Amino acid sequence: MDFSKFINYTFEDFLNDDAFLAFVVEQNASDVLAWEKFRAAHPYKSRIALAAFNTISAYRQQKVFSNEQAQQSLFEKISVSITAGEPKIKKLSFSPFFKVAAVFAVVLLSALLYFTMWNKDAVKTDYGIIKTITLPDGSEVTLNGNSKISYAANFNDGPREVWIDGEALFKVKHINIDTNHIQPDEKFIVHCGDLNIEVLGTTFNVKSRHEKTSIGLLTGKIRVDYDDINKKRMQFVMKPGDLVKHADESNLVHQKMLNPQHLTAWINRQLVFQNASLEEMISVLQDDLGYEVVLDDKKISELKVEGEINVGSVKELLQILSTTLHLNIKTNNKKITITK
Amino acid sequence: MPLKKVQLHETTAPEWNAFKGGDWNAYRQLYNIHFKALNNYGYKFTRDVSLIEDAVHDLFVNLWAKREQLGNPVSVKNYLYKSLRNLLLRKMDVQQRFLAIDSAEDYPFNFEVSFDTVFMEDESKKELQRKLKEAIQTLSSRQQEIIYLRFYEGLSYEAAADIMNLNITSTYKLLYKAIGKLQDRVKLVDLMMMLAIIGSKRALLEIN
Repeated sequence: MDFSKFINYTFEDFLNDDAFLAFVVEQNASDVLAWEKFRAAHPYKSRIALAAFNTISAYRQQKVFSNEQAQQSLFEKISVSITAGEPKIKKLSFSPFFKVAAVFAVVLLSALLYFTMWNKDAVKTDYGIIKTITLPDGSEVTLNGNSKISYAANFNDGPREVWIDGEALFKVKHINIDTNHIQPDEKFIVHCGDLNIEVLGTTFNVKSRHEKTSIGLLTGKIRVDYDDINKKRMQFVMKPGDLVKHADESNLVHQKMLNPQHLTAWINRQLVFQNASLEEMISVLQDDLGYEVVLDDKKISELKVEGEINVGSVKELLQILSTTLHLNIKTNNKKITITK
Repeated sequence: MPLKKVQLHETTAPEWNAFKGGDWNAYRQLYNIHFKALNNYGYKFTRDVSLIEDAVHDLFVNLWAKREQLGNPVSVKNYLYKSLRNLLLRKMDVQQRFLAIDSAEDYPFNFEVSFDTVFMEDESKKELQRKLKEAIQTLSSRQQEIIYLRFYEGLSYEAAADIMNLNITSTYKLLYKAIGKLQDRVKLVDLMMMLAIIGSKRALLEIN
């Protein structure tokens, strides 16, 4: 794409231009490259283009309501409605053969379930419990509360693969020394959601909750495979200090961590937040520690605490929140009620 | 101006043709490809999830019943959006009538997007999004919907107009006014952003 034709565009022109919009929405690699060149060549004149780009990008950062849990059941309802509406189709009658087949299906299904369960080892932590486990290969994994790791029983044969749901810190043991020529059998792969992380001997933190995954790399090198906004399989190689975030059906967000040590503060039961919104803090309280947080007004969750919070207990955190944000906070067992 | 249509998760022609020919698997695939996007779009009109599910249900039941009469839409996704929108608004209209809300020029309901701030750590971007949110809330529901179809779904004027049952001229007018309002608020932020960047560069130079 040739950006030089945009040189005299106004902000409005950009937002009205289909080609520019398509670029922001799709962000093809070659267009992004041309875009960077354009910005480097015209640092001042490209300002308006950048403002338009940022405006569209900011607008596109939206919460997605996918209603995924209803996808299967609604299709069944639709099938029933269609069957009921079509007079050609007779009422289902269960022939003896069908009954036998059904029994077989049930037996087969449970057998399948049994074998998959049996072939996988899993460790799950309760809310607020932090646990470190050693994998059969000597790699260490620390699980945050309400998190689960599973791996094949024959973990040491072939590539090492684990599945993560929740948050975990990995210290992966090197099998080979030459990280540029990894053999398939030496791989260590972490699966979370539809995203895979290929590890080349390293320390990193993974958080995968509510269909969003964030990965912070402390040492070594890892490769992330993910689906981008166009459902295309993409790869990203992370360097130490990198933080990437990914949600279903969106592009990868790549940042440098300002304070990498904050990433793993949770192992020492520290609650650390940087310029965080109440929403972010509530998600940690709910997801990791199992609290139920009730707000009398949803807008409260957008409030922010500027600067850093670094505390060792939920009680301290709530104290800070109530004084800095002038909120009434009541705790009753695991239920926290926040009012203005 | 080159026209480029952005179609995320578009259905391919063979799938659509197979479905029209009565292929149940192709039909199921069609449902699975579009289910999430349709729910997401419906959610902008109402937070009543069962109402959205009813509309999606009716949409797909009708689709199967009419399969032999269907044409070949340029974009299957846009066709489904338009159908869902009609069904949903009809269902909501029934409810609205009971509530006896005056319908003036604008919709008798809100079109609402929720921004996601969790992934934004850059302060200036968060500020931009806040301003954008304020600006968008001053727009009419119709304008908000056009903005959504254009900037989130990446649709052309023609496609947005078609989905909203408007002619292209009024779509263009609605959007142009909306963009003017956005510009007034966002420009300020841009200026602040630039100052911040220049400021930090200067600070860096001084340190070195």
